[in-house]
Amino acid sequence: MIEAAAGIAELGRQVIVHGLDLHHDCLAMSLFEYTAFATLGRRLPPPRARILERIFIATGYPDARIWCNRIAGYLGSARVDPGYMLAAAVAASDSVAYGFRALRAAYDAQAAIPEPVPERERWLTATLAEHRVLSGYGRPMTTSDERIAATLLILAEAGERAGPALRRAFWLHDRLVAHKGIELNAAGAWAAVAMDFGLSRIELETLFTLMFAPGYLAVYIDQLARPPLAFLHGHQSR
Amino acid sequence: MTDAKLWPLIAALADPALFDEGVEAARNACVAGASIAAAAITAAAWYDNPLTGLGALHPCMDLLAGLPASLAAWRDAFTPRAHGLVGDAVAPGFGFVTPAHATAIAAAAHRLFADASAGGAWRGRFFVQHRDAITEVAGSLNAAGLAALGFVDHAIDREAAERSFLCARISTAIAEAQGARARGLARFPFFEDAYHYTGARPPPRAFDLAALRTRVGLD
Repeated sequence: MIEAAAGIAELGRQVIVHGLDLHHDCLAMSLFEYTAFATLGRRLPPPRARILERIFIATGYPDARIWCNRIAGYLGSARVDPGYMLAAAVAASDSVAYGFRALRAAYDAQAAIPEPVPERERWLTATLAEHRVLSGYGRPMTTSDERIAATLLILAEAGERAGPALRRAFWLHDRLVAHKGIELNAAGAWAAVAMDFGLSRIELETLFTLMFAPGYLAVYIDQLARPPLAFLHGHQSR
Repeated sequence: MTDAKLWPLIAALADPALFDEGVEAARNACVAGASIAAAAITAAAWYDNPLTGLGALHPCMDLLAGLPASLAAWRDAFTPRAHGLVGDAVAPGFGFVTPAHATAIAAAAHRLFADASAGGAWRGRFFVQHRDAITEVAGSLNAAGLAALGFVDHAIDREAAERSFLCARISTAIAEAQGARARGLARFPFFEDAYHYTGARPPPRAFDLAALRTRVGLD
């Protein structure tokens, strides 16, 4: 017996998703709104769903050099089916330095920042003294993360004010810039926005699983159109 | 469990001289700290490919199983034809290898098949004897072709063959992925590769971060 609350597909009759009739109640939703509803089991307010959707767009980088996109490049070049490509690229994105595990760690870091300012100051002093890693801050290769300004633009254009988590995130950003030259990165900002929108860590991580997919798909189809196995042919990084 | 008579073939497939883009893709999957599950998924996907992977192994085995010991028949059977996801010209089991891989695979074929006393049927020896004439039309033997010759000559069925081939290739790739993960991102050339973007370039536009911070109430 399978116990389930997400939904039921009564083929030929009706499909129910978290208590709504898919073909009568959900078709007006955007793809992201529906995905969020199916994932969370509750509807996000459409302006907030649109904010998260635009954050998705803001990180769909179609550059074949990026680690997870390189998987897509290799698999397109080898003519592997797109479904296998997507599975592999998503799996490679479940990594610690970047990607989903980094996002998880960034959420934990944001959740650990105390709200009362005096307590926050003491927490930061102790954190720096103990040389603890603050996930969600810092970025290899370049100091600034161009997605921070894009995220603020998305919020501003939606008329959304920064919530308490995002204010804490930037409070820490300002302190770290002053003391160490380290800036808030996109994972930290998205974690804070998600907290302000009432998403748990696992809800954020699950909902954002496909956030790099536009990049994978673009790189895959680009390399698929090129000669077979031409992508970094013969390159070995050992 | 792999049949003991296949061990020399499995060992040949694991030879570092045969490391290909499937191995490199698996390294890539783990270099940022993902589980070896990511390497396994990536390698399994890559070695499903129709050029040098399972998508070549099966048709190559099918062709080999039906071929007589006739050079003309082999040359005809292994003339490249449209094959796979986008219809590339492919002779299953041949082509898509670097010159270094071609040399290594030819040497492995000689090692595995040239000696009749080593067992197996006649196809591997026939290929070694007529390698130049066959590869002239088909391209160089690749890893799938090497494996297909070994599997067919040892009467390994399709299911056992694909299992042995994929497991051997994934196992090697995972080990390399672990090494890449241990060496870390600092040793992996993400943005150091030569990259030639050929599309249009709109002019860069800067954001006014200070103004955006004010607009959302951060300052």
